[in-house]
Amino acid sequence: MVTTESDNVIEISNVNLWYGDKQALFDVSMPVRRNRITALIGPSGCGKSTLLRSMNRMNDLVDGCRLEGRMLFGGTDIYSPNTDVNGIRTRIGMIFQKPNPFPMSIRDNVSYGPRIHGVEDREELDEIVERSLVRSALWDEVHDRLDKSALALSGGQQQRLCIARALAVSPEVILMDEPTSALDPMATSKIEDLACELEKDYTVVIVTHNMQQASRISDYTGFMYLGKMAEFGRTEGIFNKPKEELTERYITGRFG
Amino acid sequence: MKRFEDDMGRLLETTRDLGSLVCSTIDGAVRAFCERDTDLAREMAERYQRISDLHSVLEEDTLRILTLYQPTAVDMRTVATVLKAITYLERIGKYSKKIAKATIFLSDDISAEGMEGIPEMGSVAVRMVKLAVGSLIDGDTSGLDEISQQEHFLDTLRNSVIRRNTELLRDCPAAADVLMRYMSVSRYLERVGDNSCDIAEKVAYMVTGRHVEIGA
Repeated sequence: MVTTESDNVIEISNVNLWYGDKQALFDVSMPVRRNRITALIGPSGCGKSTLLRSMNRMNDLVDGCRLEGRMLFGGTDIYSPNTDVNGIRTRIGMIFQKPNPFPMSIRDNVSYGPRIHGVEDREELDEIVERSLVRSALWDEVHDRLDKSALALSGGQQQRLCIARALAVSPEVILMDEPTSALDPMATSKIEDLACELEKDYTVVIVTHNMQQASRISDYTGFMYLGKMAEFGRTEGIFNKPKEELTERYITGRFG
Repeated sequence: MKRFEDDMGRLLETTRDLGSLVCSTIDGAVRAFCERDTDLAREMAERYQRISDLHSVLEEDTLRILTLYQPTAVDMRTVATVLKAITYLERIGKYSKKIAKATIFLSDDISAEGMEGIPEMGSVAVRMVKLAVGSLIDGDTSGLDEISQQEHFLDTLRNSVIRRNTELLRDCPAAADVLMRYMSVSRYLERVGDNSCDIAEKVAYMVTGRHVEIGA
């Protein structure tokens, strides 16, 4: 398959990142292909969550965090001083390990983003709520209780609500940081199906400890080790015949 | 991980057992044919059941390993290769049975004429199976070239057996029954060679991750 620059929604080149004195990422380069699912795998502390969070400048919130290198989103530098951080986080949404719905109704959770972006029209908000919940495969389960508290939903439903909340502001990229590690297999399967469904309209980057999950749903996989991108490639190749022995040892469970 | 490695070790060990059983059966079947030993032929024909049973055990073992451990990379390729290889070995076992049955059918009718080339085909075929199974167990591709060479040699031998028996058939149509059996046996041995090449191709994939053609 021939890919061009425009196939890459995010382009990461030679990124180094420090938390204070401690370097967490070393010369990391990788593309994030448009309308594809990219999985980041690797042992705990390898830097995969750090890399994910740096894609929408979530690490700005960490004191002493410093990044060098280039990270382009649609051709513009994510880390340029002129970049509107809120704008970046709107276009690159994030789903966390633990579902974090706001303590408000299902409807308000989803309409929160559009409202702070200035959408006031009730009909338009209702439309966004429905569209986002349909896309996150939650609509059928909650359409008759939109004004009930989001905290009454199950863990899996809460995670899909968080995805709906991210979708409500029409992002281009959705970053998922171990989105199913707190969920049971049924809820996990729904989130995985959803990620595959979202791929048609969005770009997904997912950090996961579950190797089967990476191989089941992703198109590309990056294996990280000690802050470096040890290997990046098509998921099929990584899981069938990785180029690096390190990757082979990790994915076959012969590590350490 | 330890449990997985123990299970994989046992899987390969049992595959080696199946390989040895198949080799000794085909060797015995060809010997019985050439020496007109119907007792040995019967023994070899009956042995097919053991081959078939061992094949079923291995098939179940590979499926259990796939289900329990969901292997990846070289582990996945190894399990997949075993799953394919045992099918080829079981088929080779079936050809041994056919050769043994041909011996029983012909018994005293077997004459040296027309037999020329068959003992040699038997040795080459057994050698090919041994090489293929050995490569699989050791994860080593160094014997694959020899398999390819032996396959060409086996084809040459097979062609000369067919040629010779066609001539004999022309001269003595009354011996058609016997001569046709010789040709069939040479055909079975050729198929043993083909199946060994199939195993070798899977071994190449197992080791390198690339598909190659062997003995085509």
